Amino acid sequence: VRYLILDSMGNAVDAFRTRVAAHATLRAIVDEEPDAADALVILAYDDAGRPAGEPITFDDLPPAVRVTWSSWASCPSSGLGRSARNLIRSEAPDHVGGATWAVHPPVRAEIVPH
Amino acid sequence: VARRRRSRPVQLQERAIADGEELVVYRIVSTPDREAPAFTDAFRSRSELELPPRAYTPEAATPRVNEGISAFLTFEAAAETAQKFPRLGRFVASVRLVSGEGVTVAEWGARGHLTVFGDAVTLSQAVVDIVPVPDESEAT
Repeated sequence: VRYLILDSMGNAVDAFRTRVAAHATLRAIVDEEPDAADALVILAYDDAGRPAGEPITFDDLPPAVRVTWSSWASCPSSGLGRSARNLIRSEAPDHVGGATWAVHPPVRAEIVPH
Repeated sequence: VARRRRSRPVQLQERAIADGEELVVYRIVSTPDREAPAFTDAFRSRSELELPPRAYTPEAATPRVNEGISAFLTFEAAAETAQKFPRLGRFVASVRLVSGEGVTVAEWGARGHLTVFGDAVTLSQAVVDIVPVPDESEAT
């Protein structure tokens, strides 16, 4: 299986062997260019080159990180994309700031492979 | 912690159409009207439309990709792609590529996907057939 990111003009933007890599790149593109969220889609192609499964848009992507309360944690801000930071901000708006995401009470940002 | 992603180059095995070769490729288009500007525009690359390469994609590391348009080697792949993502268009144009037209192609990504490099007017005039794509629900 190959995963293609296609734009709304029908052109392939990138190709991947794994779904996780395709998801991560779509997030990165949209982090850089928010308008691209409406223009890009991930389609899986089987070994015969036929599209398989449902298209995945940016809005369909699962969160790149899962945020839970815990007794510790810190995440360097440089390591997270905008969507991840926005997720943390939405989950813990009063506890985020500074050069790192170390907060009190702490928030644990766990990167999960989606 | 995730690292900042970088653009990855694509190894484009670009080739010209050989003498005597006839290669038919399939491009999704939004209109069957050959006189409509949108029809020719469907064959314009991002570069020709003066759209910059996107960060974190091969377009940035391999700008040549930005100078071509995607197509498929089979009608089925193009039609099913259009069904999955109707925003691309509801028609599939069969484009007959021959030598001497300044057209080159490079296969990459999924099997049967290729990028076609050539003048938009030349490519649009090489269309030999345009077929509407039924809705996915109608096709099953």
